[in-house]
Amino acid sequence: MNRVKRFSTVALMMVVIALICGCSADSGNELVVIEKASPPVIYYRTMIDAGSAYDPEEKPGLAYFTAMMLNKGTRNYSRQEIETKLADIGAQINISVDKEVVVISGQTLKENVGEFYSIYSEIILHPLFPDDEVTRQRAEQLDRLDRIREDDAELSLAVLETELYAGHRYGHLLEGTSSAVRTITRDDVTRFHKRYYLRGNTYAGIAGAVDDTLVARFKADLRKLPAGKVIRSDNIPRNPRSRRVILVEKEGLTQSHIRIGHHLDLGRGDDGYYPLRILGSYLGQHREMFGQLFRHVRAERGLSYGAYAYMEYFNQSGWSKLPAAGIPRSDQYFHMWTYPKEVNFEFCIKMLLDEMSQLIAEPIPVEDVDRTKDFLANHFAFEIETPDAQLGMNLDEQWYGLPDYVETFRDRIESVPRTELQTLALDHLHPDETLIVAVVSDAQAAKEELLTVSTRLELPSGAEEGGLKEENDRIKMIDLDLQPEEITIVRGEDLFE
Amino acid sequence: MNGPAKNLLACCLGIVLLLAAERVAAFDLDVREYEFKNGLKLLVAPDTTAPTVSVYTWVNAGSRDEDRDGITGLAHVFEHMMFRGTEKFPDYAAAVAPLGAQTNAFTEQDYTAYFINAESRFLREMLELEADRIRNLIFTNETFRTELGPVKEEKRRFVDNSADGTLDQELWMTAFTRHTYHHPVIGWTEDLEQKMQFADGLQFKNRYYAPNNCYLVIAGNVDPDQAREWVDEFYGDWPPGPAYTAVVMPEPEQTEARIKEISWKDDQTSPLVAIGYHTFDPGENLEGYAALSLLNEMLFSQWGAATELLKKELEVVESVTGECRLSKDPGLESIKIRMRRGGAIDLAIDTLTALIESFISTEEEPASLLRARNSLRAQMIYRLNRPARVAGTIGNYQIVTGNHRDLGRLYDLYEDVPWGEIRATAAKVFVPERRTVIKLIPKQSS
Repeated sequence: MNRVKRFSTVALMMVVIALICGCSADSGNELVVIEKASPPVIYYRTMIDAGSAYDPEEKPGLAYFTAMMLNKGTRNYSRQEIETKLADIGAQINISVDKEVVVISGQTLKENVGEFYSIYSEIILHPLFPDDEVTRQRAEQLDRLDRIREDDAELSLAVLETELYAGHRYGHLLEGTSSAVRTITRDDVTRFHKRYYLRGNTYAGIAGAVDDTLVARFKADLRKLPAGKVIRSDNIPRNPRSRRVILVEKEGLTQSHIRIGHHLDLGRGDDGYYPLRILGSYLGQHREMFGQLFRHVRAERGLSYGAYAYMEYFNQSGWSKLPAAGIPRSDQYFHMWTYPKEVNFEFCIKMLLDEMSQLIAEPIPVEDVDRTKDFLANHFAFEIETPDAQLGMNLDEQWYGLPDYVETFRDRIESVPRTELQTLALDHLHPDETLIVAVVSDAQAAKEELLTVSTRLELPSGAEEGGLKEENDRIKMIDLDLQPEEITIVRGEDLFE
Repeated sequence: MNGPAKNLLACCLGIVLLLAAERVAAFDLDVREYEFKNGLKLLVAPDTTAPTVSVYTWVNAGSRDEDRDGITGLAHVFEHMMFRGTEKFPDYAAAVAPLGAQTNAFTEQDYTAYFINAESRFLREMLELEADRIRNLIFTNETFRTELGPVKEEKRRFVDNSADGTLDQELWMTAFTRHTYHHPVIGWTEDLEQKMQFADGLQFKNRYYAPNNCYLVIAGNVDPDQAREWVDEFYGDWPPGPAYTAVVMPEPEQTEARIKEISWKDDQTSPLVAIGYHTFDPGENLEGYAALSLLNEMLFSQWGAATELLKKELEVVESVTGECRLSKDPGLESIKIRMRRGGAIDLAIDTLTALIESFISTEEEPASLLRARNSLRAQMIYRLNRPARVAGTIGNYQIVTGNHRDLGRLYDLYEDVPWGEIRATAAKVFVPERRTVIKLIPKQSS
């Protein structure tokens, strides 16, 4: 198929159907308003700088705990009343937490906006943190930590993140540790809330079938938040000086989960961000089939169900292939992920590192660069497909201080020169400084395998190695250059305790 | 504003009126229907306010249609094969990528669905690609064997190494003894590893991948006449297939409760329980399906009675959910309980059973019914917020119940089904002898 010309019907459409206006919320942050009269649904989103990065050192998990308590009882409504009143009108409120921010989002039919808003605003302004709900939240948060230990995909990512950020304010799970969660009290929660849920820390917006009265009311309520802003104090995380491996042992597994990553010294505000996105998409666009990792690991060899790469933190939104909005971070890391049968774990580690090295060693073919740029530019339509999605993106713009991110994304992707890609890979990708995390059933055996020269490869039964034999032999011979002290073994059940 | 947008607005306003008053007009999208000479059926749901368009191809064959030993999982394996290219577009992924399209597929018991979503200006290219691969797929033994690798890894990920996946598999396997709902969509490992042959795949393709066994659904910013023209251009001379009907045995009436306990390999997992009750054909009894859905909302939603009692008051479970999925043949009301560590499993099951019985025996309409009605109807409105969701939803009804208008009927039924009907349906479904219980016990707990 010929390269597709890009003509932004989506951008035009948005101009027609959406009016974005900035209204001061008396905090330096503007209230984002996106009007779309039909269907008569209204979306709310309030984002607050009160994520896990603000946890006190001795209470990891407090920010998450506090956020989850917001809708568990307010000045005028009990937790049960909130749940039933929302259900009565078919409305929904959802709270999510990440490293930097808490997001309180909601949706309602326009007809019920009064009833809905009285609850939504109470959650923002007057949460009460009742004692019995504190007890319940403690148990639920401990359950949540159990679920992370149970799910190998989540566990491998949790270990990668916490190890990459050890010593940094991102260096613990959102949910904290079991021992810390057991000590969190109502006083801790109220103190945290008082300290961080401030006007200056808040970014808010409303989209859909909105009217002036609603906008005025929301603005007025946001002004009732206590004044103030907590300034972040970032320390800069460092990459390991050499390659390092953490093997997480879990009994009875027949499949390993592999994550390989390192810090990036580029973010959304840097010029290098756009070529970086092209590199990441070319290497392994999430749940797409054209990425190099997917092609070589799955399509050609049948070794794994998926193989992907990420140039910024990616949290899949439900079952879609899009990242959820509302997860801005001041520091980003690169990582690759695959999950082969355990016998192939070392071969896949070598494959992933090799693919990463190829980006540095070889320029990407012209047609592949064009295809990847077209993909990113045209795919962006989905990130602003609905008023709710656009609202999320606009709040992210505010947080990053990049007001034209949405408007310029496509052009900036298109204008990246091909020659810049290899230079950028050389400067910012470091295969020798990666942290490798693998969840395996027998960590000692896996460690020995990593330290010996031989590498196993078991293709699907009946599949032929064919023309790939030479290439497979080359990958098997790659020297991971690991010393015993660079490989750590931990037991899954002991983590995050 | 055009017709469809008006209709959507009308339906949305409908629920607003419903929530505020007594009655609402029927929920309906403006769906145009076409049938081509070769038997291919097309549904088009235009919405000119949308920036994107979605094309869904629904193949009327899923794991239900794997009607002999040794080929379980074949519908799903074939779904994987459909991404492996044709002579014209040997690299499907590379051909789709420049459109910025979202493309994927999923296989269920009753069907296989493929979708591609992109900006609406690419509709012609999308149809050309979708028609080409379903008609001209290169299907070789070599690619078939290689693709079995990712399928097996998918099974390891979502079934073999997943307590939830294993529990679900055990539930259906135990509750169904003759009907093909007995085997998992992803298939038995033995079939994937040893029995399934390339010839089986070829036979499956020839039987089911034919225009007279498919629905095409297009939703979003599209001119229906233009869409019909392009569909005719790319699919019009696709020859019809043999119209094969799978031999699916009816499931005999279950007359005795079935209980099974399985142990799980690690101790990181909480004990899990699945409870299944045989239901009815939702296509023939949409009222019953609406009744059961309302009851599930009243019991298992975030505010539901079972959630409140077992999770928040007794604190013996982490979660309790219940659902009855749309299915071509009588399926299962499926309840899943994730125990809290130390929570007594039998206490949870008995408490839940008693709670359901108390609902059935209560003559007076509970206040929570109105809540469930409003909640389910609003969820339908929220769900149809973009073309992919519209195409996915109306196609699902068309392929499973045989009528996409059942979406609108269900919307009305959520309002209309009386409490007495809900009780009567529940009394027919929640019968102890028709129940299957699977307990999954982690090693440490056992």
